[in-house]
Amino acid sequence: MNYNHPELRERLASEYVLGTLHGLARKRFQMLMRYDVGLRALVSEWEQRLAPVNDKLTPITPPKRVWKKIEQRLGFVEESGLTRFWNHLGIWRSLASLGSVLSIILAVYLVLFIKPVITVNQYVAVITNEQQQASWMITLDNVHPKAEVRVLNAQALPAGKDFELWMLPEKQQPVSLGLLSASQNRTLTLSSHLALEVLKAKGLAVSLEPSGGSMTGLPTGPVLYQGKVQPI
Amino acid sequence: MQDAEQLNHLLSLTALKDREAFSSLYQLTSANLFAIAMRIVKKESVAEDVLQDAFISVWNKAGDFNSNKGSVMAWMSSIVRYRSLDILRRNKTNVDYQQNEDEINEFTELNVSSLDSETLLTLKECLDLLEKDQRKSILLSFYEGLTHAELASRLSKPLGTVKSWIRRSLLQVRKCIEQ
Repeated sequence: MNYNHPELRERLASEYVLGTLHGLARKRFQMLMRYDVGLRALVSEWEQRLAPVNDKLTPITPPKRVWKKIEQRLGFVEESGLTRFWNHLGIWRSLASLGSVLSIILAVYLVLFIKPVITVNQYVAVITNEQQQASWMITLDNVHPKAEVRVLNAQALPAGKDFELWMLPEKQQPVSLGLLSASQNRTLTLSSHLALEVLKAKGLAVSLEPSGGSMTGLPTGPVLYQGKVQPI
Repeated sequence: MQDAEQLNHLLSLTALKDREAFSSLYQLTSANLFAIAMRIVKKESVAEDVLQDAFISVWNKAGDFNSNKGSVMAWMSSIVRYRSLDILRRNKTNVDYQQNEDEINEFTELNVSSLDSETLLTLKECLDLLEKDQRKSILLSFYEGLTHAELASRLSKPLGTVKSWIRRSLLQVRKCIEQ
């Protein structure tokens, strides 16, 4: 999917505002908006176009407690007596002790009787150039050892060169994740170990390398793009 | 509807962390915004949470609002709608479709009067140019936050049909409004 295509941008913005964009597509779109001023402007235009429909809803006065809670959350008012009681340390100490005992019982029960359920958590990294323009979007999850790479707006590759994607581990040298195309979406297959490491890495980077990628196993050309893996 | 100028003024003061202005903004807009949340999430307790979260956002992001790009009410209602959609999608069980089945026809038409805002009257004119079912899918989706698949099931139409209705209708509406 080419996120630079004007018609696609318009459609995604309109359906985001309407509410029909959902699931991963909606989350990806929200992530893209953070980096794309033009996309935010399209969304804002659609909000203004469709919002008048709300004028026809019959207003419903919310209960008074809503405003009270807003004031409390923003720290405008003193806590009530009940809240002070609620925040009293002694209560929580007692409850914590009871909670510890219960959690041990629960843990034993879970280990013995419940089969593990794997939750799929999605992650995304938007790779941007120095001007903070989004160039690729990479989606990953904690279950499948692969990275889906979508081209957003990458610059054309000079002849005889390739873009190489690197993971930047916290305290080790960069690790190559594969080559990126400037024009085509790709799926990079990762080892199970690497797939989990990527989610914990401090960042991703893309360097310009000789055709076929770096021969040394480390970036040799300039790092042109960077991004961070974030949960969505 | 509230006076747009007044809301602009109150939001500007809110951006400067004026609590009184923020309180007035709440008084003037919360009933309209609560209705939006109620329509999408259906449960009062959930809608209350949405409203709370939305006003916390308004307090924190009031400075981001740009009055050249539209109305305060549209900006605030969008904050409420997105928060409602987030919660709706996270917890689908909150929605009681059965309860709302009788309300579907309510969405077929927008009943306007000369007292309504010019932007609403223009939107109504443009929506009226759509086929009845297309108009219904746009309004149902906007009011209730239904996805394509949910719309298809509610209207008993194939998914592909609903998708192309939405796509074409939105294009048509934009062209019509811009004319």
